[in-house]
Amino acid sequence: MVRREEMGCGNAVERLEALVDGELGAREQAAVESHLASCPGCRRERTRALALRGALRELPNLDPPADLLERVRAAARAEDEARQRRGRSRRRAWPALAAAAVVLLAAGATLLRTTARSLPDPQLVRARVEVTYAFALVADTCRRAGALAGREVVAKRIVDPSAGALSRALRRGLTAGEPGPGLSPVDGG
Amino acid sequence: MKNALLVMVLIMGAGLVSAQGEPGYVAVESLGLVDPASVEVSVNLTGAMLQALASSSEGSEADLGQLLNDITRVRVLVGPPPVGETVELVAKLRVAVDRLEGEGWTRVISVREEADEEVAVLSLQSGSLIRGLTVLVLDGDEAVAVNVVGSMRPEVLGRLLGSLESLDSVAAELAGVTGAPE
Repeated sequence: MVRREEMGCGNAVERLEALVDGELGAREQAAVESHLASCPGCRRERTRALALRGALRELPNLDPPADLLERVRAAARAEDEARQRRGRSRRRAWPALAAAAVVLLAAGATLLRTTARSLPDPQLVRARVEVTYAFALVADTCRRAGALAGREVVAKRIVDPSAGALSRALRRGLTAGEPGPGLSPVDGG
Repeated sequence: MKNALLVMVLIMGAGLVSAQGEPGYVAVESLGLVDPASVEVSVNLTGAMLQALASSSEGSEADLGQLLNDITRVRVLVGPPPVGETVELVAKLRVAVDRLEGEGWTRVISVREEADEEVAVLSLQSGSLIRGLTVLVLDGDEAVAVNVVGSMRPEVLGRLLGSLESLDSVAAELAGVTGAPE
């Protein structure tokens, strides 16, 4: 009998990012998940990796200034022309290179300011996740209860303005038909 | 003894609703579903923060932003219930649900699978708006209490609930920003 080699923590942690990104092959994924099932430490690492992925998704997309590319190209062209005029002396090229660097630095500073302005307040980030969690909890409870009751899209029952009428209809349906396991009669509003 | 327990439950239930004169508000803490010493997740968001959040939500979060404009309070408690009090808690939860129904709430979902399991989702409606949403779950070693207050438009709430990712991924994200346990 061939005994399958179990994956260690080092190998598992190396593959966590690929795992949460869904980039592992089936066999490798199974090996990592098998290790995670028995290793609380690596499970915590996976949770961190998931949180990191979520946090990265929160970062705003940066739009560089529209003229950045053109300014860099212009600086490069100027430097090239200067080289042609003055021969290929590398020592004399530095002012143009410095000019290009200044353009890049200025653009970088603009980007940083833009980023600082658009980065969300940590308290807001936390509040957003908390409120999302609250509603995910509601949705999850509905889904779980809906699965128990054998019903689809139970959430719609909450949001239907005529939930009372719907509940009464459901109760009539349950009385007439076969009730799903665990679902008790629902009162109308 | 049973009578004493019932009276206690009724007295505790009496303080559950409308404690702040705000339609849709339920003092879920007073139910004692979650052991205060072992709370795993506690969310308590109110006016100013929700408004700030609403104004910062845009683009793909339009529904969330729209809903946040309409809500005034979000309270979540998750954790294990106090040890050895399951039967009393189930009784307390049922009394609370009955009381809420007496206050005009509609029990939208109710599941009683096992002796120590009780799931109730209630909504308080006023006209075409949902003024309150309450989720109470007692499931063996886990208890959940959620109360959302506001003037929520059903279609927005429906779209948001339908679009949310799995609870696990949101919980992992929450653990990332709060340092809460898995």
